Amino acid sequence: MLEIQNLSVVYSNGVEALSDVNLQLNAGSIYGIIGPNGAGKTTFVKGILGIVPAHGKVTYKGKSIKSWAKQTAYVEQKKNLDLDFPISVLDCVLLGTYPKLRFFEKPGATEKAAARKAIQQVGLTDQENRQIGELSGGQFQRVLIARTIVQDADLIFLDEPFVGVDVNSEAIIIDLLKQLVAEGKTIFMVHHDLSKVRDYFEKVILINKKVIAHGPTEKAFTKENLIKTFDVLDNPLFT
Amino acid sequence: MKKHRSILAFILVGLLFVSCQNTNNAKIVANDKVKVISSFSILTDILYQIGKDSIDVHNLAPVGTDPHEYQPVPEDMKFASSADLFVYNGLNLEGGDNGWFSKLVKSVKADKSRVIEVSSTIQPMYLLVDENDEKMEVNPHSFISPVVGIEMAKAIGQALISVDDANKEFYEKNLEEYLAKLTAIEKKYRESFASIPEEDRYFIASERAFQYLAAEYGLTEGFIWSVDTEENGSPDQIKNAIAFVKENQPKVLFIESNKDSRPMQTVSKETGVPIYYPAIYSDELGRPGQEADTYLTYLEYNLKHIYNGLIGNL
Amino acid sequence: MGEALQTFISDLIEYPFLQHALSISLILGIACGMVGCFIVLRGLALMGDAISHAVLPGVAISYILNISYFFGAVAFGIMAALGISFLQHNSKIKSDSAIGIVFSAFLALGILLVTKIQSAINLNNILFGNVLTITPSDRILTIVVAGVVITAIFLFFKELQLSTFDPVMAQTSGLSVNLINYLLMLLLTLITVVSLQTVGVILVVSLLITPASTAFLLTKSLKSMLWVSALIGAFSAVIGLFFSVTYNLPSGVVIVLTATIIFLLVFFFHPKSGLLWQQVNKRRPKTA
Repeated sequence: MLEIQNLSVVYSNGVEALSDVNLQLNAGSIYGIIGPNGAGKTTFVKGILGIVPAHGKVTYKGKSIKSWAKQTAYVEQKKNLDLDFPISVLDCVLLGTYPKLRFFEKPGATEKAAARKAIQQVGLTDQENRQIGELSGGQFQRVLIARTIVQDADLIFLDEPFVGVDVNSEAIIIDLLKQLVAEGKTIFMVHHDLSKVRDYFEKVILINKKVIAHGPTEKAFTKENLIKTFDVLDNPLFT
Repeated sequence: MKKHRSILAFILVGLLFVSCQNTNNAKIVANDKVKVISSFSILTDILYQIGKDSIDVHNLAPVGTDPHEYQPVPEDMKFASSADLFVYNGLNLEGGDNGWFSKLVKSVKADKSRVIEVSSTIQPMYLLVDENDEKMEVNPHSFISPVVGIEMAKAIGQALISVDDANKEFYEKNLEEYLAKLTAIEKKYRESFASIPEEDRYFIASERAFQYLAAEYGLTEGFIWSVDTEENGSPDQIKNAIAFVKENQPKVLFIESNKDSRPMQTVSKETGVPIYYPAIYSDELGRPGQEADTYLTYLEYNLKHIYNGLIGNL
Repeated sequence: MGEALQTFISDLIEYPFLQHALSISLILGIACGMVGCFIVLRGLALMGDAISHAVLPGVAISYILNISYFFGAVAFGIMAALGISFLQHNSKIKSDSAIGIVFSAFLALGILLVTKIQSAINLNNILFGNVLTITPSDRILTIVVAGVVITAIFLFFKELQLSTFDPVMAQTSGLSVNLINYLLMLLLTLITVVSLQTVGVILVVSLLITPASTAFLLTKSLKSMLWVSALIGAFSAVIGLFFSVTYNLPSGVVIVLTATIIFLLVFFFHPKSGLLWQQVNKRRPKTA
């Protein structure tokens, strides 16, 4: 269980980006993190992981989340990565093996095999040697998912993985994520497209600077909650 | 990738090996000319006057470059690798212990006995004296005074004799002739300056290079900046120079051949005192073929123009 | 050209100063080429220049305390690098502004100290060297420091790679991105200071950026970028020295121009990515 106590994030200019989140989240599910742009979804994830300075306490299975670093994977928005970086698909996926390698250890045959298996699962085997800059948005996102698979982490955080991604890639990815959940992993996904929420997520967390609602999708993802979260009335999507 | 690795490794090992080799010092072969490497033009000229055909001098800082900041090029280093004698001014002209000449000497592993500082017998003068009466910052421009020139010539003569004893008499004869000429010029300096009335003995140029000259011949020296390596013509410096001129009323202001004359032009405008033309020489000789292209003509040139300027004979 | 080459080789055999110049500029070409890869990929190209100037107060203080310039220079170089990182990460100041602010401040402090000390020695001479006149002690220092830097890059390759490409993943998976940043800044400072004393400021900045940028255009993995950059750095040193000796020109600047010409050749003529080829390919219709 992931337990979040009094989590809040205040920016250096004094603005409170996220206030007083208290949540107890069971493992083994896929959670959608939903909310308007700029209202704290990414901050929520970064606050949990300690990537931005945050107040409050976050524990997983009773221990501080920081101690679970090797069991945690975070795939940030792919627009933040440098696509000109000299790295092939295979090398990028291999990066997922690094956290488990010892200090001077280089990735060897075992690691390469694991990487290739993951690349096969996302359907990019024939692209293995291409530079990431030559891939489409969907293909690159699949590479990042393959990297996450190789990491074999218990907690997986994804930030808007379906932005700029083709339908085919999206389908492949969501299938794999469901497989990972079936294996016992816990996935948190910041997601922007409201139309797919019921299909993708068992549970949702609605955020607009604080948690507006959370819980199983059927119960929490209601018109009423959405209006509160998105601050709009009469959006045809909700009817 | 494997190919890259082995090429690099081979190069690295090869050069590490080579870089540990040591060098022998050049030996003088009887019929060869003595190979002398000299830091700048004035020393090169004096060397040739005394050594004449028996020596081959390689000049480092060419006329037109600043001997404080010269960077040796490959030809310089090739010559230095087999030079018999290394001659430099000292008094920090070439940058002192961490300067370019010192590094050149160290990197060819020259024998200390073959490295000659021609100003070693000269009493240094200082650009600054601080509150504790500590003398700081040596003035390198000793050679402007012919008295110093005489010492330098003697030191150079001595150095040539020490590495080429076979030609001792030749060098001694040349030295004697040269000293006679230098002494004659020095006498002219002494008589000329002594004849200038007290109230006209105020001399100002851009850089404080004339300190030794002024001290030797009873002049009071003004300046804008004390040495080239500091700022040339800051507002404070110009103000102080203007104050010097207003207080002491020299008839002219002097400028140097290789310094920026604009600060002095400002002083001239503010005080109404004209600049004397032509420029005088400080830390370089004139170009070959021009006047002042030997140390002797340089001294004579400076005397003529400084004297004329001081007595107001424009 | 053949004759000039023969002369160069016989000069190499005859003159120790040339052997030393060659081996030192080779070693520095390799070390700077490698460090430069990370600097270029992180968009910190001007850090090398900044550190070259920021070391001035350190040199002045070393002089006051009468200790070797190396320690003072390295200490202040690191402080400058840390200062730049601090500004970047704790405000919205971007990296180029942070570099400019810190470097000019340190340089000004250095000039102030130098004026106060009224040093009889021109500190420029200490700071900015000439590859032809390297002293034996500087030579040993350079070899040792370059060796340490190259070794560190080999040892910490994984960490450097991950934190350069995806610092967020690095951070979340438990790697201390801050420590790796400090390590890189330390390596950069060390190699900059030792390069300054041996080959001068013009050469340092160029050797850090140009071979790495050329390699960036050519390679598909960070590992090969490191090798290619090192090779180009080394190659520029050899060719540069060859031309400088043949035409009696200052060595440092000729090495810089050589590295630049190599970059331009790749930039224009590399098949597929070179500018000229891009123009050609635009006109030619692609076959299916």
